[in-house]
Amino acid sequence: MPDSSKLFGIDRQQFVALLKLHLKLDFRPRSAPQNTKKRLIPQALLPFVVYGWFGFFLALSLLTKGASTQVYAFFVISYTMVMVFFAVLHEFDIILINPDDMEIIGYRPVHSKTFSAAKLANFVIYISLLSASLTFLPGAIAFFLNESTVIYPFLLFFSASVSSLVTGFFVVILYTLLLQRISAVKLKEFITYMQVGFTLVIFLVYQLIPRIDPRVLQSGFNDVSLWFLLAPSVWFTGFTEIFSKNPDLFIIYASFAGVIASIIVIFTGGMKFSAAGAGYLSEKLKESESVSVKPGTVSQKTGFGKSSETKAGYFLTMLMIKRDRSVKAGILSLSAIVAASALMSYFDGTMTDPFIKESGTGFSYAFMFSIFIVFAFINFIQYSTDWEGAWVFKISPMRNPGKLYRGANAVILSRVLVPVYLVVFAVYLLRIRFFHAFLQIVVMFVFGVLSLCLGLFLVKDFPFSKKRVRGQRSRSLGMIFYTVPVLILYVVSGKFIYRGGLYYILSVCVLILLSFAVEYFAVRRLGQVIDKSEDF
Amino acid sequence: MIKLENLSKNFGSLKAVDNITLQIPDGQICGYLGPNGAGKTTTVKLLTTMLKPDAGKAWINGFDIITQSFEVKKSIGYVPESGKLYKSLTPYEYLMFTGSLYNVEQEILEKRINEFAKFFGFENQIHTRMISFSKGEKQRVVITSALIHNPSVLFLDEPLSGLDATTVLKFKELLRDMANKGKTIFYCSHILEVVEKLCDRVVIIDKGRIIGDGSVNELENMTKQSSLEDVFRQLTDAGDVGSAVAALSKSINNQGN
Repeated sequence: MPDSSKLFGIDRQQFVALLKLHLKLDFRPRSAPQNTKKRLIPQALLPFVVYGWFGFFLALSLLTKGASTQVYAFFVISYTMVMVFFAVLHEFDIILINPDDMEIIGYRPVHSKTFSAAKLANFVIYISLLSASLTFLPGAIAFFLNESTVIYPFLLFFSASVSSLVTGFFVVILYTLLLQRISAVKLKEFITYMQVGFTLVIFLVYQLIPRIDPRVLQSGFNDVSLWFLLAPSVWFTGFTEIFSKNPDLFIIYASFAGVIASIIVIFTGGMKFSAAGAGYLSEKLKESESVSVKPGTVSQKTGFGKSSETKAGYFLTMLMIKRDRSVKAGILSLSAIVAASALMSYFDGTMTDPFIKESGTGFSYAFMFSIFIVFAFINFIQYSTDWEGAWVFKISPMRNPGKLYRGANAVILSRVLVPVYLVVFAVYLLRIRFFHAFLQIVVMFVFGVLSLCLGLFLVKDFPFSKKRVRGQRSRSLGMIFYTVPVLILYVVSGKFIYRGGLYYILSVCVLILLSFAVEYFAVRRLGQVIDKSEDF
Repeated sequence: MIKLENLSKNFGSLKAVDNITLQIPDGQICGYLGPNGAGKTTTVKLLTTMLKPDAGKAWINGFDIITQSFEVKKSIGYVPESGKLYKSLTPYEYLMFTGSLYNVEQEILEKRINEFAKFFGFENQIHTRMISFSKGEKQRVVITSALIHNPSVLFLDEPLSGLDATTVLKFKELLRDMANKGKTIFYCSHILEVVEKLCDRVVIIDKGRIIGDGSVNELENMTKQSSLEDVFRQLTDAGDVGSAVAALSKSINNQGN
């Protein structure tokens, strides 16, 4: 066997082969057996488009408020760091540890240095793409800031990129250290709840920016205390100001802290990328597979439907919501958004009683997000870490596999949406009288059911039958576009619903009938679509 | 050559491999048999350096599996039981990738890929992504990836899984030819007929320990049985299979659907 050329102990040929492999695995769609080139670009770009979209709104909101360059950079960099933290933390086991790596590469003659270098390069490419998508539009918008210079947007882009890398590597260190000390099962549970917390924080920050007094946004860091330096995003904000005419001591401290932190974090994080380390972590992550559970934690009895397909769908969804971290995390995080938006509406007074004339339309963020999460749930339940087990659907004697989703929808409705609606109802009671709040929550429930039925038109596979891939969670954010028709229907039907009395009853009845009709056709269509699916 | 000396591996209180000593010379096909959970795959994982032993030593072509694991990896080919591969790739991409890990020159690699593809009959699928492949189609690629760098020692863990009869015949012939050329083959399987016909020597393990070692004839003579199946049944204490089947069958039929 000939020896390939080496640089710092890294085998060139192996490095190239490994990096190519990782990039192919990242950016190649799992479906479409042949002719992959056509679908390569959308697959790679979609999550980044979603991130870019959110970054764009953030930047626009800051621009219209006349934010100073310092504050603008602070918010953009904070947003970038939080999103990268979130993305890497949640998809850590996909981004860094592919359990297949150890089973396919573990017995081949690859030095840990070569393996690490390829993984590292792949990670840097991923973070760079993520960072670019998060900061490209805010960077472009930065040209229009009042205090902006020609170099400022480029510095902002550079700072945000470095901050993303530092954040990414920080997560690597954090996750690895935690995994070495606590069990993978507990860590995964912890991350699930942390993700819910982060979703709330991000959402609240988004909601807060438009409500901040413009004078605060325009003043910059002039009056803030040195304690502010503890915020990591301040360190990188300092980079953007370093070439300004009069950089103050505060900024120099911040940038200095940023440089030191970057070096330490990137170096320490880089050390974690070893083949042996990946193998160890992979084994640790597999621990969760051998956890035994008490029998009978989920009852197979269900009142929803009599068909065996519906019962099977209900039973499986119940189990997955309890046991599959990816499903649980997604559903809890999205539920948190609705609760947070309801609270926000209460605090800023936008929550009004739609049944009182001239009071409001009933349209609120809570309502909008309650529709969005329904579509997102439907999308989520196609994916699972146990996706390989879905072959069993293919060989089971099902008359209509679409009915599996009837059971799944019953779980989403009873176990997820109803508790969320109850929270929103409690918040409504703070501003709206009991009876009207009840009527409004019934409207929300009916639209939730209708959205669940409409969401079935977006489904193409058996529940929990698709493998989670990098960026899948971000892509689910794109579901927000599907809420538009439902919201239009809500605005139109609101003209009748909120007239009260008979109009209300009739409108709700019509919407329920519409849901039944939509569900009937959706399930029928789903049965045909899934039957044709050959992706096994 | 493969050499094991008092090799042991525990998983908690379970002794997966218990003090195994064994030597397999060049040019020998050694069948490694045992019931489920006997320690076959663990032994292979130890010898392929994927696991570290708790006690004992082992050498592949004279290289210590602990201190010279890189050299060991260079000289072996392995068909794992899981048969895992990156399904998003095409066979050509996958084999180019694995060949590169052994630093096989590109020209030689391309030639070998085409030869193996022709031999195993996947030349028409060589640029099709493996996501749509059947188990047997994937297994042919897995086997090729184990042979592409022309290793001197081969570890095969249930290699015939999913293969059609023609491919099985071809592969068995290929293994015989490789053994005749001096390669050492360590063959793990549950399929007794294949082991009986293919292997020069059979090692039977149960509960991590070797309970039988010799050629098929030697084992039959030793246990006074007429077939390897009977030898296996006796040594592994499989019990009265007929009664167990009858009891289960009766129970299922009585319960209806």
